[in-house]
Order: sequence, then structure tokens, then C-alpha cells
Amino acid sequence: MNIKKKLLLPPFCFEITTNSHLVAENLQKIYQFSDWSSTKPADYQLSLQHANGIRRFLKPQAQFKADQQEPFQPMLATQAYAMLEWGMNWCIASHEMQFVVIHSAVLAKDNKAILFPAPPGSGKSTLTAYLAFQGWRLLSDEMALIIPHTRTVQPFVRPICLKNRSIELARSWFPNATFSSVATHTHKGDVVHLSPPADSWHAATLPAEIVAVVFPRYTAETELEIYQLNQAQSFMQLASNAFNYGVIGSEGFETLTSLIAQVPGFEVCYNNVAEVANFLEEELL
Amino acid sequence: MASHQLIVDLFIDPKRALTLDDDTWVPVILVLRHQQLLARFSYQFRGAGVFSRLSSYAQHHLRNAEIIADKQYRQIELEAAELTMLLSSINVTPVFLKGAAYALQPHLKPGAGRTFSDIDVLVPKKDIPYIEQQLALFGYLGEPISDYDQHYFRNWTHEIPPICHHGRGTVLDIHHNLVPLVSGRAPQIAAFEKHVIKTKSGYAVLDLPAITLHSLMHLFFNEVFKHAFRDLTDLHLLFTDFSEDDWTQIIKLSAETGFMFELMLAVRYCQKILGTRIPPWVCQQLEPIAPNAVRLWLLDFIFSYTLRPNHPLVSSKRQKIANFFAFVRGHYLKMPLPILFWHLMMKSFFAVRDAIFGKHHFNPKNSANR
Amino acid sequence: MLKPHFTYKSFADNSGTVFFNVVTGETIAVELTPETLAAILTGLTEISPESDMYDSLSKVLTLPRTHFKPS
Repeated sequence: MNIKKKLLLPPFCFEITTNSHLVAENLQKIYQFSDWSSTKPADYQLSLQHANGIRRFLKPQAQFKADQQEPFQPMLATQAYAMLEWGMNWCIASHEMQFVVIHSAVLAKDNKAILFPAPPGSGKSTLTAYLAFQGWRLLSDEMALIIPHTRTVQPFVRPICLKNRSIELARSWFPNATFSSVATHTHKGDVVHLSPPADSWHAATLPAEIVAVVFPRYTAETELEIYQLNQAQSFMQLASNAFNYGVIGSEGFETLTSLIAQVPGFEVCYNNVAEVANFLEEELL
Repeated sequence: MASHQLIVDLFIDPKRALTLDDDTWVPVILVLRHQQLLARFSYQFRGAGVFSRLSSYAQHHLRNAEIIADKQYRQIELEAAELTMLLSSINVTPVFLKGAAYALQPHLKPGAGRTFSDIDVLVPKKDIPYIEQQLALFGYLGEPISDYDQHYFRNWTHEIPPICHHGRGTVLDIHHNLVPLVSGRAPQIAAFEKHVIKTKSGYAVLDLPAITLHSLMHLFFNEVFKHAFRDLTDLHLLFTDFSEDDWTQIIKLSAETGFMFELMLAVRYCQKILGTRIPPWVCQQLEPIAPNAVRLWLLDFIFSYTLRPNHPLVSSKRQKIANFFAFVRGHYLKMPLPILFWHLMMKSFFAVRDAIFGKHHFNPKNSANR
Repeated sequence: MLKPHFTYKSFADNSGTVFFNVVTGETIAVELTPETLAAILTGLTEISPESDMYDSLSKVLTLPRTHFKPS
């Protein structure tokens, strides 16, 4: 089988080709609220193909391609869906230069958005999952798209990428939510993608204004400790999580310095997501 | 479905872009992106005054490519400055070649929107060990490649393996000649040395006739035709700025270095495919160089296909066959027959191994997006 | 004197100044208020080579070589 489908994920449109049942099923499940019959022209052609022929039996492999480019080593066939999600991120990060793209989650309440930039290991995705199902709408899990010279985030709604222990946590909190199949033994460990609630999907074209930047840091021993960062610290941490900030020249610099001059930055050490949610709702919104 | 001819037509007459609907733009954007031509075409559309009237879909992708190309363009000056400074302390003046050389000379048309994955420089062969050492001190390190490829690079071609700046990721290709020594046709570098000039900012590059000759030698000696169409458009843009004296110089240099045949091919195919205007007296001078009708037919067959935009969307079976011929011819040009067979045998073993187990299984290099 | 291609922003909370190279994307933060920066740029204040800031600042500014202390 080989399916080719167009998936509208505002602000982009992807044409996805795959011969993997696993990928096709997960796509249908995770993106059930998305527009699968858009007539818009596809911005990017992505494919996730199982290897054919003899390789299929010796060592089942899946390969991601963005048109003709193969940015990743092949992965195991069972990891194919996760590979497609990472491939989508790669595609946007390497081609989209008209947003300031930050490696960050973005969630909003009443169109007031908080940026959660975070390197791997900070527990950001567990927090993101919690907030998304507690009345916050998800604008993005991994890639914040900031419109240059503004504080405005353009949503790019995608599933939340959970790893290892956060998978059990999220399943225990939200047993009825839509989870993808588990990709085991990836370089990040076990990986699952969690689709945010319907409200997030329905608001996928609605921008929001950033009101704060929060750097989450999961620490087992600390329930909740909040440090307000000064502007220079805030800026440097934000810039180090920016994908294309160096490429787009002064536009990126001006956008981020402006942003930091207008909104506060915090480092939050926590082991209790509910406490973080309280802090965000009471102090920042 | 975009045909290769549409892409060619858009280059020759950018105003045609106004007639395209989004369904036609989708494959055009794909092919141009794959051929590293999005930014160049974007600037052509701007030059023709049509960019702002294109659909928002087209403008979006064209503009993305411009931003990336602009970044490279800005950066090359800094890279060139650092490299020139580092090598001056060991009395070596690197001569910048190809894409980097275009970008260092803003008055040259191929510079606008041209991207390049590596920075190519020409240096004296005897200085290469010192250059490698000096660059290593400043963070330029060799990339991990297989032993066989190391051997191939050092002994058989005109390049040492690429070296990479660990911090910035800039890749340097250091050449000591313009064509592999082993082919027996490597030009006397001294002939090219007479054509080294300094840019306004003081970087060493080849003058217009020499940079053009090198470019066409590179294209018609290439074994990989992935960027052949782009390279052809480079030549077109260079030729359109030629003065009478430039033509005289290039004919002379090509005769001196033994590459008149390649010059003849370049002129022939620029005219045929892109409609480049070549002065009639130049064509007359090159006419005797053309081979007999049969060989010319074969060359026309190979090049009319391999010089086209290359992408599964626009490639036909005939193009694949032509590419194969060109590949063999490319190898043949570079090496004497016995060495070629050994090389092809080794490469085909690897090709067979890769086809069974997947390209990345054994290759120490990371899957490179270059 | 600011070196070529560098731009900067001093934050209003006096937490420092960040310099950005528009060509390479290199970003350097220095604990410097706008007033001190202005004083350095106009030559009213000098930075000692021993100071922590000297190395970072010399990447973005051409500093006058005044405090040369022979060892």
C-alpha cells in the first residue's frame, strides 16, 4: 500500500506519502480534527517509507524524506511515526525563515500566551501535557513561531511528544486522551505522541500574545521554586533555544530583545505540575 | 506537472512566472529547491519586476530561500577574512573558487541567491600539510570518512578530504589543482595563476575569463549532475557579462590549458538550452573543435538531458540513461582506464553493499544535508 | 568603538547589554549598564585588561590598549 494525503496544519500544508500502516493509523488518530481535504497547495512533501526488498526482512527500517532530502539515518520500522513527527519539525526548522522559531512549548489562556523554552530533560512536555488538559490551549509543543517584530505567536498545533516516565504519568492523568503507539528504543528512549484536546485543534489559526517566558526545570526534591530572571539572563536563555535566530540576522535579535523588554522571564523548579499551573494562572495571566 | 522546459523558460523569461497558478508552482518550487535554485530564481523575478505580483504561496517559499542565501552571502566575507588571515601567517594566499568566489564579488551576476555548501579554495600543493596543521590549530578538523575515500581523495583526485570548522560548521574544500592529476589532463596551474586578482576587500579570486573556464571545466568533468542546471545558469550569467577581451582571454586560456573542447561544449549548450548570446566570431573560432557528427550526436544526447533540471518530477527514463552515460564518461575523463575499472569495482562493491544494507549502516559520516 | 557587524541592546533593568553579530549570529552578554557602555564608547571610561569583562568586550569593541602592565 502507498497512501498520499494532504494534511493542513496551519500555518503550513503538508503532503504526506507513506507505505507504513503504523504511520497511517497514527496520523488518522492524532490528527482527527485536522483538515484532510484541503485544496491549498502543499508547502512541503514528506514521506515515510519502509525499506523494500530484502532489507525489509533482515532489519525492518523506515526512512524519512523531505522531498529528496534524507536528513536522518533510517530508524526501526516501529519508530516510523515518531520519525515522521521529528521530520516535520526538521523541515520547518530548516526552511521557515519568516518566523522567529524557538524550541519551546507555547500555551495560552484567554489568548495570553506563555512561552516554555526548554532543552531536553527539563520535563517540559509533562508540564505541557498537564496544562493542555487543564483548560490551557496548546499552540505548540516544540516549535514556537513568533511573528517578527511582534509579541505574537502563530499556532502550529501538533501532538505533545512524551518520553519514558512521562508516558505513564500522562496515561494515568488522562486515560481517555488520544495517544499514538509507543516508539520503543529511540535515541530518546520510549516515545509517545499525545494529541491535545479538541479545543486546541479548533483554535489552530488563532494567534496569541506572549505575556511571559517561563523556563521549566523538573527537580525531584523541589515542590516549587520560582526565580525571576533579569532581562539579560532571560534573553540569553531564550536566544540559546532559538532555531533560526542567527540566520535571519537582525530581525531575530530585535524581535527577541523587544520581547524580553516587555515580558518577564522566570525559571521554575518544580516537581508538582499542579503547583506550577497555579503559579502561572495566579501570577502571570 | 512542471516540465523541465518550464523551469528553463522561467529562467530565460522570468515574466512567465505571472502566468503560473499554485498547482503549477508546487512542483516548480520543489524542483528549484532541490536544485538549489530557489533564491537565484527569486532574484530573477525581482529583477524582472514580477516578484510582488506572484501568488503568496510562491512568494513565501521564494523569500524563505532568499533569507538563507543572504545569510550565506553575508557570512562568506567573514569566512574569507578569517581563512586569508590564518593562512597569511604561513605565507599562503588562498584563491577562492566557485560559489564562494561568486559571493565575494557582488558585481558578478551568479553571486545573487547562489548558495554553496562548501567553500572551495586553491592553494599550492606543497603547502597542503602545513595548511592542514595550521587550520587544525584553529578548529578546522577533517570529517570522518572511510579509509577508501581517504585514499581516493589524497592520491587520485585533486582534493584532500573536506575539513570542517567545528564551531561554525563551515566546510572547506582545499584544492591544489582544478582537475585530478591522475587524469593526465590537469592544467598547468601556472597558466591560471596569471589570472588571479584581488577583490575590493583583498581576497584572491580568478578573473572573469578564468573563473568561467574553471566553472565550465568543473561542469563538463563532473561525475554527479545533481546541480548541472544550476552550473549551466552560472555560466550563462557569467557569459552575459563578457567583453570582447574576456572572450579572447578565455579562448587563449582554454587553448593553453587544453580545455578548448570543454569551452566549445559550454558555449554550445548555453546557446542551445538557455539561448545565451555568444558573439559569432567566438562560435567560428570554436567550430573546428567540434567532433565528428556521430560523437557530437552522442554528446548532444547526454548533455541535453543531464544539463536539465534534475528531479524525479521532471526526470524521464531517458534522462536516467543519459545520466548514467555521463557518469561513466565523467569517471573516464578523470582517470586512465585500468585505474577507472578498479575504482568502479570498489565503488560498485560499496554500492551493492549499500543497496542491501542501507546507505547509512556502514558510512561513518552522518546523513548530511548538504 | 563597536566592531563591524555588531549591534547591541542594553536592557532597561540595568541587567546588562547584549551584543549581536548580524553576520555570524554570535551573541555575547556583558554586565554593563547603558551609561557605562556609552562612557566606554566615547573613551571616558577604560576597561582594565584584568577585568572579567575585558575578553568579552574585546570581541565586540575595539578597546584602546592603555593599561598595559609589563609582568
